[in-house]
Amino acid sequence: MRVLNSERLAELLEEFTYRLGETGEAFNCIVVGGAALALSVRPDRPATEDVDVFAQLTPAATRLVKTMAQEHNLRDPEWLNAKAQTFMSPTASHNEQDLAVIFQHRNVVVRVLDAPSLFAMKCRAGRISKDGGDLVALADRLQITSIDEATRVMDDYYDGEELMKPHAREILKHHFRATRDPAT
Amino acid sequence: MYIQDDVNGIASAPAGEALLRQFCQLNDDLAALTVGELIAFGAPVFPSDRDRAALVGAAFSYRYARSPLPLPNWLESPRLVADEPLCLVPALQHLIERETPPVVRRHNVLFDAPSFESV
Repeated sequence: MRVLNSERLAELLEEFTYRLGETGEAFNCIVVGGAALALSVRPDRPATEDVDVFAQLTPAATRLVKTMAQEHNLRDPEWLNAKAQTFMSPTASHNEQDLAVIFQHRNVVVRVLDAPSLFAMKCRAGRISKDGGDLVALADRLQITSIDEATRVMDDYYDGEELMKPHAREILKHHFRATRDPAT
Repeated sequence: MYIQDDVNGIASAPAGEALLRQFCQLNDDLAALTVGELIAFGAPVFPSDRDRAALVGAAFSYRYARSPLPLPNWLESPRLVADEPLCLVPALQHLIERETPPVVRRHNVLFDAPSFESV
């Protein structure tokens, strides 16, 4: 299979961190999206070859991403990319230092986004097939049992600037109902 | 070729989350093709399992429908239609069903349009 399991994903990120660190480059990034879920909340969840990060990719980082794509036969030369940056909260950067560091070498630090922020991003994306399982897993991890609680988590991350997607709301309602009354 | 690797991955993936993410990988890789590359690739070697072949057919049909190209004849094959409605996230089938594009439903596959997209 071409999808990455959490072990393979961790190997790639560890290699990226080490090799970039060896160049003397200073670089910080936060892993988000499916890769973050596979590395934290859902270790049994495979991830596609698309590691989304919040970061300003430096020229050296971009070159290394491309080099590793060739060496590891990854389809996407931008397998590690900042395309999800548009989903980033404009106000949540203040807590970056609180996030778990998963890899570090010299001046390169790779963190993983925390579960409440991942949950907020999934509420905003709200794709049924793609995000449904992640939403439910995150809600369970965070012990969220109502739409009001879910909305509060989302508002905390986006400072009330983003709305939960209607499909995310439906998925969560269905999950909360099923959890309360497993017979339904 | 990455696309054929993805198709082979769909043929061999265990049912459940692994199959869902492999299907997403195929969709991501098809979306990355230019129109010219999509035409040049032509038809993949489909999985022998009918349900898995239907999934691959659905992915290609969706990508063709999103392109300026007409659907090729090989996507009309009855071999690319699942016997029963096929949903990769059965717990959410009631939501997914009504958001499935007709071009995907033709394969008796249920998968909501936004989930075909990467970001």
